[in-house]
Amino acid sequence: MTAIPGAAALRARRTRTRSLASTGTDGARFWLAAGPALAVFAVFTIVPMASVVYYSFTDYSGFVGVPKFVGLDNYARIFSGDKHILGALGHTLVYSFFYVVVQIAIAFLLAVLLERAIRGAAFYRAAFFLPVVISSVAVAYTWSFMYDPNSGTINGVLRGLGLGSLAHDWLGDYNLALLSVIVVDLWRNIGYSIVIFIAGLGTIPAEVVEAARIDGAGPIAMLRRITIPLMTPTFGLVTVLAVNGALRAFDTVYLMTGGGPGNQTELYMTLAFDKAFSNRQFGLSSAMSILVVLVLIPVAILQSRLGRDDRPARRSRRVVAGVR
Amino acid sequence: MATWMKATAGVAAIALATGLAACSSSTPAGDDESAATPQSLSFLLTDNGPEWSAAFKTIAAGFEKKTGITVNIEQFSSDDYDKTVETRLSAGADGPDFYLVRPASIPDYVAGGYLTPLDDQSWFTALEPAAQKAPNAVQDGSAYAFPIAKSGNHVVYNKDLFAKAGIEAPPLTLSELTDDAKKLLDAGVTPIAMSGKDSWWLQFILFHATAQQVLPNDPDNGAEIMAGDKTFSGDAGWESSVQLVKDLEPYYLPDPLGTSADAAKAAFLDGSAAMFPAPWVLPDVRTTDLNVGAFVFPTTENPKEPSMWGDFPYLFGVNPTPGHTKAAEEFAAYLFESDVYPQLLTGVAAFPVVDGVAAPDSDPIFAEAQAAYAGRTFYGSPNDTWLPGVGDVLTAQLQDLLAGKSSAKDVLSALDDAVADAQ
Repeated sequence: MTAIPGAAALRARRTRTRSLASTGTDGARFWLAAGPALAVFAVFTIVPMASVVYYSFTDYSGFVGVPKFVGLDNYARIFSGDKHILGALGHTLVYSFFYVVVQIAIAFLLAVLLERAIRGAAFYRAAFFLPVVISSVAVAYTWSFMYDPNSGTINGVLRGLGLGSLAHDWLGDYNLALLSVIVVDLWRNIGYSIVIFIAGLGTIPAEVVEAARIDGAGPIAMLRRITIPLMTPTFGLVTVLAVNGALRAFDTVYLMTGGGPGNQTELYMTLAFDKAFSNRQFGLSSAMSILVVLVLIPVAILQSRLGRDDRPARRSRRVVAGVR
Repeated sequence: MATWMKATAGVAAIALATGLAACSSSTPAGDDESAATPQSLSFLLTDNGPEWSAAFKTIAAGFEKKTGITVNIEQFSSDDYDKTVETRLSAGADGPDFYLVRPASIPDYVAGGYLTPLDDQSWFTALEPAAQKAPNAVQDGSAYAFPIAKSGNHVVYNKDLFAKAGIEAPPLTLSELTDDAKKLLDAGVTPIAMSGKDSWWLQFILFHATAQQVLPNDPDNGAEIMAGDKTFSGDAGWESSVQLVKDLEPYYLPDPLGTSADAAKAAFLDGSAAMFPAPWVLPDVRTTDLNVGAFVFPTTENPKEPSMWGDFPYLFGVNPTPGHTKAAEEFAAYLFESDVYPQLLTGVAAFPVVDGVAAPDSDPIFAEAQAAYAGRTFYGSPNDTWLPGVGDVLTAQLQDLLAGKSSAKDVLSALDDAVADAQ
């Protein structure tokens, strides 16, 4: 069995690191360099998180008054069947389905198309990625104008094309509002997934593709038996990133609808925000936030492990064997 | 555990302790009368347009010239103002010295020590009696906030569109209003520039109604409901007021739930809507050539209805925590000086709360508005005294009402549930 090429280098690096740390002068330099960053991390990440954990066990209003310890009351309330919280959870699940499943499917298909040497591929890649770098505020306000039922671009174009029957009150219709907001977030973030998929497609060994082609594999077989299996780590990475983004979704809904109409676009995180800053229920809001963190911890661990996966060679050999 | 990991943990722990100490609230500076006059005062308020901003900046410059104290003005959008000011107040000695305060927030701010009593100030006692008792401003017998002006929330209407629809005079009763609205619809005009996407905007119809159907009979209605002594559900005035929001829906902009308040304003300014149920559109109206007038929104059948929605829209308070109370009170007094106050009123486009001061000529419509106000008692926004969270339920419920998902009774029931939850 062939030794893993990087293992020896890894062992050597670890040995060097131990040597560095044990050397007095080098160690002092190391802490001098790392200290400020650790201090910033502690102050702006650890301290606020610890505060949120603490407040989640209190009835703190978020502004005045001394927080009183209430044990698990806040957590119990989240699971007590509060219809507002249940509604927000339901909307978040719908949002997550589209943000994860639909986005990944569309992003992968687009990546497969864009990865080919088609004319203008670089332009298309940039065009799909452009929304990712636009400010979320600008995106929300622009799309809000576009969605206006009376003067918005979308209905205007539809009416101009004689398709007035398709014009809707996109952000005011209770059945369409959530989907309308989801479309905006998909448009804005799909470019990120496409870029990751394109990078993943680029790691597929050319010889594997060539071997499959020689063996008579057509485009569909190539996709099913070569591309998708070898892209498993990339799919995994995109999935965990999408789940992470879906559970923390906030700004588009907050800016475009504020959770309306009638709470129809209220997501879990927008509700947590309102509980803290509108309802002065900071303790409950903290408990809601902590639950999201607990759900995201295994997601983050999975993301970290997928990022360190270094077995492409073995996977390639299995795939080729499977094709044959 | 490897040495480097132990060391990392140690550095992080020291940084954590340092951070906790650094992030603890600043100890209030306390107000030391013998302390030197501060170099500057921090003044927080909402951003209500260029004329408003210019007025306060001019006044701040005059105060600096007179006293040598710089007033650092910071303005924030109305949507974010409460969250911003509360974050700043929590900063303790670094919080604002003088700031705009919303009535509903006053009890919490007083409890937190972020407002100081003003009853002993000579400029305060010169305010008209109603202004000395603005909604929620008086807590435990002391006044902690003061208004700089009062304003009636009249309707601004397009006279040319009314004439086009054959309407000779603005309506005085609810029946006349709906008749006029039908005429406007027949003339191809949107009667009322009202929409529901920005839920706060939809409340404007409701508050015109509560000022005439709820509060005249029970001025302390809000406080009583919040205390649990009454309910929304048992009040016929509340039910008819909420129902009015739904009844007038045919006269709002099409697809109101998807139309923003900005779009509603645009519809009025471009001449496609005839009535705008709030006066704050006037600065924008003056950038157009619209021929506008003012009338009080009628929600009853009494042509001489003695009540209307009007309030003290801008309350201010002094924060004692930074320790500049005297200087901040001096600035408050400066606002009411005889050569300053008229300038302030012109900038905020509202009416005086001090006797003997003429109404500003901020807008040509003001004379007509004042004539409409004559003989009427102002009743404020009912949510000024509500507990946190109740207002949010109202705005969501009004959207449900417009969508046909709930009735007026359902709305009131939901409000009662929200009160119970907030108590």
